[in-house]
Amino acid sequence: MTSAKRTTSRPKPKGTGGLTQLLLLGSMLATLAGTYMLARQDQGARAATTAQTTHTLYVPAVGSVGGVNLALQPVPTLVPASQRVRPVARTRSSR
Amino acid sequence: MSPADPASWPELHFRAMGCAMSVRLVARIEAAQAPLRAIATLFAAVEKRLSRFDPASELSTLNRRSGEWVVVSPLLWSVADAALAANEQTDGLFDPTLLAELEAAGYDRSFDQVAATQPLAAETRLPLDTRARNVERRSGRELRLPPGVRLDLGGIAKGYTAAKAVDALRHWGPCLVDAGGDLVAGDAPPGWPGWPVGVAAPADAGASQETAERDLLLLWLANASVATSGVDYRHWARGGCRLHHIIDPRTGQPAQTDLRTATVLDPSAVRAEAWATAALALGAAAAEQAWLRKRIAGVLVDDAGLRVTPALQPLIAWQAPETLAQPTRL
Repeated sequence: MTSAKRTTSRPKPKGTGGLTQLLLLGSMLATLAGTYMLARQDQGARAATTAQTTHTLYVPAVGSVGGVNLALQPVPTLVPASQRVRPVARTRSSR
Repeated sequence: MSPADPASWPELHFRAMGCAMSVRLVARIEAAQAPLRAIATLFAAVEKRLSRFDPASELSTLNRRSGEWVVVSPLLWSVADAALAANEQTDGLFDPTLLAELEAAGYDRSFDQVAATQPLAAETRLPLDTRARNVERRSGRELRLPPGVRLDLGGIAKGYTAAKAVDALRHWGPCLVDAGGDLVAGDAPPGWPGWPVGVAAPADAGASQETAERDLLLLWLANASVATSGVDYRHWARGGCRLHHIIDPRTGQPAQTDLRTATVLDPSAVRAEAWATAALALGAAAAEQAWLRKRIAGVLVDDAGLRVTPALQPLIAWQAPETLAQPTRL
C-alpha cells in the first residue's frame, strides 16, 4: 500500500506586516485596558468588602452519613448605608 | 422608568395570635382593600380555632380530651399534621406536644400577661422523646393525643396561616405576609429580585418595643418563607432564673442555649419555623452542624456574632458592616 504525501507551501502574505502589527498593538492595548479596569473594580470591591476568599469547610461524618466538603463563597458585598435598599418587613422572634 | 418602591404598595396592619401582623399587596389601593381585609379575617378565624389561650377553641377541646379519639376540623387536622411532620423532619427537636412544659415554665397565658405566677408542675406521663410519635391519626380526621399530652400549635399555625394567605393573595398580585416576624412572600414586586426583608438584630435587654430595630442583613424573599425563633424577646424571670418559651424536647425545660436568635429561609413556612426553633434547642455548635448537613438556609446569632449558611448567601442583598468584624460564616 502506498500513500501519497501532499505538500503545499502556503505563500507568504505580502504587504500585511503593518496590519499584523496594528492588530497586535490593538490586542495589547485592549488587554492592558481590561487589566486596568479589573484592577480598579477589585480595588473598589476590596474597599467595600472585607477581604475574604473562598474556602472549603469539612463537616465531619455522623453515624452512617459520610462527611461533606462545603465550598464557601465570599461574604456578600457590603453596600454603603446610603445606598442600601430599605427593608419593607423584618423577620425577628415573635412579638 | 425605575420600578415602584416595594414600600409604596398598599399594606394592612392588624393584631392576631398575640402578634403584630401586616400584609402587603402589589395592587391599586382600591383593589387591595378587600383581599387585605379578608386576610385579617382569616388570621382571626384560625386564632379562634387554634388558640391555646382560649378554653373554647377547638384546640383546647382536643387538649382536654387527650387519650380519646376526637374528630377534628380540616384546619386543625392540617395544622396538627404539619406540626407532627415537622417533628419527624427535625428528628424530634421541634416538638408540638410540649404545652405542659411550656406552662410549667410560666408561659400559661398570653405573653402580655405572663407575670409573677408560680410555675406549675408539668404533667409529663410519657418519655419526652416519644410523645409526638404517640399522637395517633386515623381516617375521618380523627386524632388521639396520648393521655396527659397537649398540643401547642402556636408558631406552626402562624406560618401555616401566612402561607395560606399568600396562596389566596397570589390571584391579586405579588404579596408579602408578616405574621409577627415570620414572613411569607409570593412573587417578587415588579422589577425587583424579591421583597427586601431585614433580619433583625436580637432585641436588647431592657429595650422597649418602640426602640428602633437594627438589621443584620437584608434578604431578597420571593415565593419562600423566613422564620425567626429567639430567646431575646419572650422571656421572663422565675426565682432569679431567666426563662423563655423555647422548650428543649430532650429535657422538658427552657433550652439552655447560647443562641439568641435563629432565622431560617425555606420554601415551606412550617419547615422554616421548625428548624429555627430546633436550632435554639440545639445551641450554636450543634445547630451549625445540623443546618450544614441539611443544607438549611439560615443565620444563627449568638453573643459572638452571626453565622450565615452557604445556602443563604445568594439571597443576601447586604450585610451590616459591624457584623463582618465577627465570625460570620459557617
